[in-house]
Amino acid sequence: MISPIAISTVHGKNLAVMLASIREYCPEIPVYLRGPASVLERFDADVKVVGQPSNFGDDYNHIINCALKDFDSVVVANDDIVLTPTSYRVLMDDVDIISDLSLNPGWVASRCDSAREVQNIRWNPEGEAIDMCRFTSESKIRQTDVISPIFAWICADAFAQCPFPPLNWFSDDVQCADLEALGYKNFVSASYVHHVGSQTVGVDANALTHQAMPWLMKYRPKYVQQWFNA
Amino acid sequence: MTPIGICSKNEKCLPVLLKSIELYVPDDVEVFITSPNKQSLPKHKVHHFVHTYETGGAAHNFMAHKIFETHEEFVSIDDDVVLNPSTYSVLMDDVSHIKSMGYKIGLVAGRTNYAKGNQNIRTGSGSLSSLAYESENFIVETDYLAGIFAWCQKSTWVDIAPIDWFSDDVQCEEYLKNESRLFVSRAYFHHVGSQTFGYDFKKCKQDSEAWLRENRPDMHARYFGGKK
Repeated sequence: MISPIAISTVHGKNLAVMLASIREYCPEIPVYLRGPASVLERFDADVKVVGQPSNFGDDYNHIINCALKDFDSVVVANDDIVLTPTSYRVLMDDVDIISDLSLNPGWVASRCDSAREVQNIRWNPEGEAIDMCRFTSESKIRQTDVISPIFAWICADAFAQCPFPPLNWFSDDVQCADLEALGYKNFVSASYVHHVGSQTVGVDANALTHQAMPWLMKYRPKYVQQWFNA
Repeated sequence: MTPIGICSKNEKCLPVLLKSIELYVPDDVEVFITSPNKQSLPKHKVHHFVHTYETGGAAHNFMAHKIFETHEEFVSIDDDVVLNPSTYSVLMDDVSHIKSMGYKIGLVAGRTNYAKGNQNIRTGSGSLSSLAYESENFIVETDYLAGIFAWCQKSTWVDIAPIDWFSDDVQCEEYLKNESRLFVSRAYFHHVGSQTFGYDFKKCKQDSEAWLRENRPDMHARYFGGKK
């Protein structure tokens, strides 16, 4: 199965390193790239889609839908990640395993060095010892309620039912919760990518939460109650 | 500016490292590269050398002595590393801090996703806030470092043993014997790992046994359980 890699960028600050890693480690995989024309002209991609940045959700919906016109599934990638020689292959192997078990996957997401706990390689809930520089559990697939699609696979059917909401922060939380409500399951893969992190929307948690709140209150009040106890 | 030195045997991951240097390292930093094929960077001055690379230690010593002909210090980077936007600048800031304390410095190395000991981000402490451990915001003195991404200087340099595995351990012991101190910096880099010597860890270990038995029986006893 070939799933193209879909990337949306705002300024392309770290994109050259990311594309270099794709070129070295999985050059046969098509790359769909969205961003402003002035940014796209600096980079090579199989399909370029010009679009002004608005928010993470809308920007990614645009490029994912473009890729899904040509393929049945897609690997969504942030523009500030770096693949290892095995990132793509291990992710797709895990997708095959999960699909073969008829587990109805929503997202299957890579682990990385800058992400929420369950995807973060630092996370060690069972108190494992480090073995050959890693935790043994990192080589296992884990089911979870929510992932961040930093480097993550999703199929067309699941995405068609649950596109991202028009948000920066919480776009992944909302979408994962929506997927679960429809019976899909989200997974963390044994695949690993490096994630620079916090390069596009920043790190001001209060401001980013505040920015998302009106949409959440209006369209997903149940989630607001659940996540903020309010 | 402090130059960079890179040794590559197979150049497998080198293009990605070079792209990160191109983007994130100041243009006036010279880059010394030992690799089979000539390498270039669009903005940085590159000095290229060819070496047989029979062992990683021999290749790194060759490169270090080449750099020390013209510089007092350099940042050694393995070829399967990728820098972040702040990696080089944070490392150099930390070196500057440590120098200002008047310490005799052996190595100052970055933190990473794939390394032994205190450099590994999995060994952090404090709360896991902002996606990283609180302890990653501090410089830490240690007794072992892997020179995957490390600042070093001519005045305290210790030649690396002509082996692959355990060459870091031997070098660090020599630094400590010389009263040169080892520090883990706040600088973070990505390390693919095991790209030169492979994943046959048993063989990697065995390949170094004869040299350690003959030259460092104390370390041979520690790692192989033999007689001192």
